[in-house]
Amino acid sequence: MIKLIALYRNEMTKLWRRPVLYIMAIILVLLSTGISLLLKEADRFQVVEPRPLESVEAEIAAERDTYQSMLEQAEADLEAHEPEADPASPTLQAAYQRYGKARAELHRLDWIESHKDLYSQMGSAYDFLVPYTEMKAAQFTFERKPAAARSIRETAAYSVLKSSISRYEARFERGTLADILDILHDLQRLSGQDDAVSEKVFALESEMAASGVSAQNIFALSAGYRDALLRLAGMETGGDKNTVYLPSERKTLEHEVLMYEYRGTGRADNPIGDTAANFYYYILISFAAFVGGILVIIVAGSQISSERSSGSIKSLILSPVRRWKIVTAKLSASFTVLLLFTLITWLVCTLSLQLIVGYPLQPYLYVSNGQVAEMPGWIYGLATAFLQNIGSLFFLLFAFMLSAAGLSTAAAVGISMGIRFGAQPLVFLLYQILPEAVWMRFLPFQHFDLQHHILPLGTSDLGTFGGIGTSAGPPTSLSFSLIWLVSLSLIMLIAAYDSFTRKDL
Amino acid sequence: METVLKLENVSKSFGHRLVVDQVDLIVKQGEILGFLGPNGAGKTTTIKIATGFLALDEGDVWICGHHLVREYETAMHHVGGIVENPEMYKDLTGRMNLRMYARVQGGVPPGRIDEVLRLVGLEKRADEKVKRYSLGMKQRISLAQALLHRPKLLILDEPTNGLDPAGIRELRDILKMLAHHEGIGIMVSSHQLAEMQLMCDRAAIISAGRILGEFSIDELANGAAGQHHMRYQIEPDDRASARLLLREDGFEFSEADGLFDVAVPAEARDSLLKKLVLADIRICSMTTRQTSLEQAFLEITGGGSSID
Repeated sequence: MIKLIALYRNEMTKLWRRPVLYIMAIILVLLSTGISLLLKEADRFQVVEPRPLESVEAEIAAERDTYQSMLEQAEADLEAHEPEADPASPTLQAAYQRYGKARAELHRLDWIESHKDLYSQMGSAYDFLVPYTEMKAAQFTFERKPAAARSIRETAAYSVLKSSISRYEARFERGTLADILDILHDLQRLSGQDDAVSEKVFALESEMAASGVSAQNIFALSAGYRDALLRLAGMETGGDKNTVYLPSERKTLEHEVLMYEYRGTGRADNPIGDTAANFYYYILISFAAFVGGILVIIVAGSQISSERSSGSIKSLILSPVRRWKIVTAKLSASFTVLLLFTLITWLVCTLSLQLIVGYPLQPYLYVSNGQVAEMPGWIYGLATAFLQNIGSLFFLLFAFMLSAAGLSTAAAVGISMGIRFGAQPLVFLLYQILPEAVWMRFLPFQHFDLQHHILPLGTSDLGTFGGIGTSAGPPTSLSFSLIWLVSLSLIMLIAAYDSFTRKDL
Repeated sequence: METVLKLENVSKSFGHRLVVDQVDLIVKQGEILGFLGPNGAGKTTTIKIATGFLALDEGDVWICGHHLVREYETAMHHVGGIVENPEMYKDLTGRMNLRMYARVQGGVPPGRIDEVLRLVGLEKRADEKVKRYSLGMKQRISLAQALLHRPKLLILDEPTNGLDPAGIRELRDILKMLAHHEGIGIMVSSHQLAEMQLMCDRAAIISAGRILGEFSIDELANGAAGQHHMRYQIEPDDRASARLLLREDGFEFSEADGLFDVAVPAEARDSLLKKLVLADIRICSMTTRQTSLEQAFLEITGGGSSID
């Protein structure tokens, strides 16, 4: 054991002097900075900002002018024609209509004026004002008409209209977010959205409004929530008969629904706020893992072969240590490089996410025993860094094996890089052509992405980005992936030990 | 004296080619064994077997009584060596190289590194990177490394390569000191035959994978079978009687222009001279023809290949 530690220390002494370590660390920082800048750009489209109040005011001013003059025109027309014309004449009826319309629109503008903050946050949900304004227009039109100009039909309709308006009027005039949502939900029910899914969405929206969540956040979250509920409902009713749903997919969706609910109620302070942060981090890490992958292939692929070509391996062979100890020390040194680089990756990506993109890592939500639980963001970050480096670990062993088996550094590194970065995309392409081929399942590549089994990002984690593409290649279960990766790794380890300990030098 | 290296019936082939064929070899404490043989005779292969680079097909190697395969680490702890060219970690300093080697050897006292650096005369350049060293300096730092853990057996493959004459002399003095004062057993292969003659106590000769024999340096210098080669110049009138006398006494000789070259067993040298004088044969001159190691070597290996 003492000899093994001594050998390991020697390996680390040699490794620290290799420029490739520092070059790759610099590349990592540069790459992470560059991608963070790109993500920051993308994020500008992602964040739902309230409309600036000036723009709201300008809109009000412009519309007010239009409707004010429309009202004045209508009043002038009525004054001119009302005394002599037949109340039923089309000219007069049109003037009453314009009068009612103008009054209603001005009423709407008054409302917007006194609820500017809420209005600026509502986005397209503002459409709820349209039917209400139309009802108000009908009311103003009817009330302006002298009794003689009112038809029996209109009078009957007015009493219905009056009760409809009175259903909303108090809430509308008060105009809190909860009131507006009530009106909105009511109108949506009237328009036919009276199913179970909608009721769930309405309930969540109201609950969020009650706990003080801003309108834009409510609408941003509820859109995803509705989508998840609809997909789940589609699955329950059998959905598309050509689609086969895996039990795991159903579970994933159920969990997603739970997470939306949790975000809406449990994390009311920041229900969607920075949720895309973890997705950005995931993107950063996958690029960073690429750099780490190159580094470990270079390190592991040269550890034995470079010593053989330079002749320095003689010092090792002349040392009183068995060869398996030499292999173990070298392999441990490679693992150490990967471990350190993974930690550096975690640090660099977390920092660039925070400093450049502007988000801290968010708590990761997961479902355990039917309850949503939170994992601190930094743990999620660290775990993601490790999970994204599983491919690097695999190719570390592969390059090391080639190097131990007697290939030159160039060959060991070249073949490993070629397979990692060349054959892998090729296999994914093949999968598109031959999705049914059984042998595809036994290629190692698609098993590297254990993250989507262990720490998947749900749609509620993506802000408004929508879904992330699942990994290419045939679908696999976590246990199959793990067993297969461990088996392949063991084979490579045995090959590396066996060939180096038995090789004549 | 303790045997520090013992090869017993060692064979090794590469594919179908038998490179080392049933080699037996012994190095004793305090002696320097020269290991000679022509190109491709199996010298380096034998050395690599004794230092763990190559697995042997047959036979056993013992180092200080420890079996090289069964007690690898204990056995190798007693070995210091330079195999083929001296190679070190070029990006590290000489001292760093030694420090790393000491770490793996274990039990090397802190002052020992300076001690071996002084011994090989590298104390002033020890903190330079090895890639700046000349071949001679690399040879020295390798020797320092080989000696670091006070091995009982030193195996050196062509250690004089790249050394200037002063360096060679210095190395010779160091090795002699190590063998004769510190009692280290040393096995040296070299193509510098003159060097070997000055350095070694004993030589083993290998050819085509087989050990042809082991000889003391004196034996080699004086002829393979312990024969002295005498050259007598005889007066023309006495040549016939000289011929007669030599034939009668059964000496092997050749004659050209009155120069008689006679192979005389060491113990018969004086008596032959006496006989010649008593027979009134007039001798103009008499020389002992010194046999060089190279001649001896060629005689033993059949002269077919040149030594290298």
